[in-house]
Amino acid sequence: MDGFGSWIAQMRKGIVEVLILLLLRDEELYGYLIVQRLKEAGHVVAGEGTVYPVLRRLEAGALVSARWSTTEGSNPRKYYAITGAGRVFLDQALAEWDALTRSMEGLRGAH
Amino acid sequence: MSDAKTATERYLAQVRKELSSLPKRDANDLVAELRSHLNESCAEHQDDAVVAEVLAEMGEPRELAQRMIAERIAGAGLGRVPLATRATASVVDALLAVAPLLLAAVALMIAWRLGGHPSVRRVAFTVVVGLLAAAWLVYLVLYAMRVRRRDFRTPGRVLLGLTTTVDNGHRRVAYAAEVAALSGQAPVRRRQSLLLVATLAAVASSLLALLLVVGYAGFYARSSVSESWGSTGGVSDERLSGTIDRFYAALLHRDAPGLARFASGTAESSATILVREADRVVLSLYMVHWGANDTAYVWERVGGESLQGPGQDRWRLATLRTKTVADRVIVLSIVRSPLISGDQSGQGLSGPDVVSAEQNVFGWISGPDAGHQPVEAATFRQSGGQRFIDENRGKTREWQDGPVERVDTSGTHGFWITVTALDANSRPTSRWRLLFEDAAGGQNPVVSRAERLS
Repeated sequence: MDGFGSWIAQMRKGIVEVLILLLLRDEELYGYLIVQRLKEAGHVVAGEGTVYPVLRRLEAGALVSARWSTTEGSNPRKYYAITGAGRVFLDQALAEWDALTRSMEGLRGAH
Repeated sequence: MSDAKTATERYLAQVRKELSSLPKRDANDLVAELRSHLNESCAEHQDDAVVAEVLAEMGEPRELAQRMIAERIAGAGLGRVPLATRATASVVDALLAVAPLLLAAVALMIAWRLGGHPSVRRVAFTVVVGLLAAAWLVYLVLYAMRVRRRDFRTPGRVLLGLTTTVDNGHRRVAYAAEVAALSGQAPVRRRQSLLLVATLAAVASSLLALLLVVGYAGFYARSSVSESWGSTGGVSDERLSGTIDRFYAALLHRDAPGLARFASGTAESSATILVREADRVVLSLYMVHWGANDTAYVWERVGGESLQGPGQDRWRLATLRTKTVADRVIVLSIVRSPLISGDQSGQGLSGPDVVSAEQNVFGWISGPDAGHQPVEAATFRQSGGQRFIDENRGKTREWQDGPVERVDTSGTHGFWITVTALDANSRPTSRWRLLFEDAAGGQNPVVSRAERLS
């Protein structure tokens, strides 16, 4: 992977957890659906190999909670929900993102 | 089994193998979630090509497993975000953490209040230590549940350093174990044993520390009654103090057999103890007097008899504040006067020294020569052996004296007592109000006035 490819991969990886928290802000979702929503988002490339480890990180950090839903005859699903700590984290992350964007726009405008 | 299903199971088996260093429950959870994802992905097309594509998107089993472990370790760092810690702090957690300290403080207060009474102290300490152990047990069980959930955000640890030791120790070892697993070294079992030993050591040291606190409370309480007696013929203060404690326990609990062990041959005395060393009497306690408000007075004498000869022994007045609970008398405090000099008969003990040292004045009183006869003031001399009814408590006592009323006449000290004279069969004959004065300069209080009440 060249230098740019490595940079873009790192950036996207850092964003994935914020994106997952955004998806979970209003509803409970299970892993497969989260992967699908992220793929539908388009530019964000986050496959299964990325999403599940990140979900593990968020769960270990208590930013999301998880529960298994097992209905007879259907595929068992592990649902994730954002926690209070996750919401605070998300708010801070979005504020940071906005500040970063403003800084970048300001620098671009200056040149 | 189809090729697609076989490929899926092989993939999951490889992931599980790579996760073998993790707790079984965690590994099962990860594999189950991957299985769920594969089922969802292949729900519509179970052909080999689709399954192969999905598995390819998942990545190599070893790489996926290691990434999951790595992300979980990183997640522990997320959990340490301060805002998350404080925002979710529970009052119950904080109370659980400080409960042992609160109980230790209560133990200190109890030990201080009940100091000087061996039996009560023993019971109190048993209860306190039991409460401490129970509180810690509950706390540790709850804490273990948190650790099992890998929830290290225990607010209480901030309040209790001992818990922090356990917490940090666990976190360090757990982290090292996961890093080792991630790097393929996987000496996890050994590290988990170390974790167990470290945790048990921390818990044991915590309990030991609490027991030391309680033990110190006991030492502190005991020290309040272990005053120095000075020269006591070679008998240690500790021994004297223990003997006194046992004596008071038997006396105040109306423990007749216990008192009998202390009986020293003074037939008319209800409670006399003589501590002997060889043929010498080095300590004697006697003349219990019950005053108002559950206050007991005991003379403690050092020396006497053959030890140092008349006029050389020393005395002090012990004032015991007591409380009767369910027919049990417990000692709340013991206050002792400074040692004073007196002779063997006890004369002179109600002089100014005692009066100034303790307000609980009582004299060395004897009964009338003939108890069943009306008595006159002049007959209240020290002749010994008669009994009266102590009207303060309404019980028959051997030595009935009491600070019913204290007066100060012509620069000398005196006090009134009210007594009921008894005949030889312990039947009341008459009631008297007596004024004792030490008109001779505080050396020999006598009855200077007697008023017959009935």
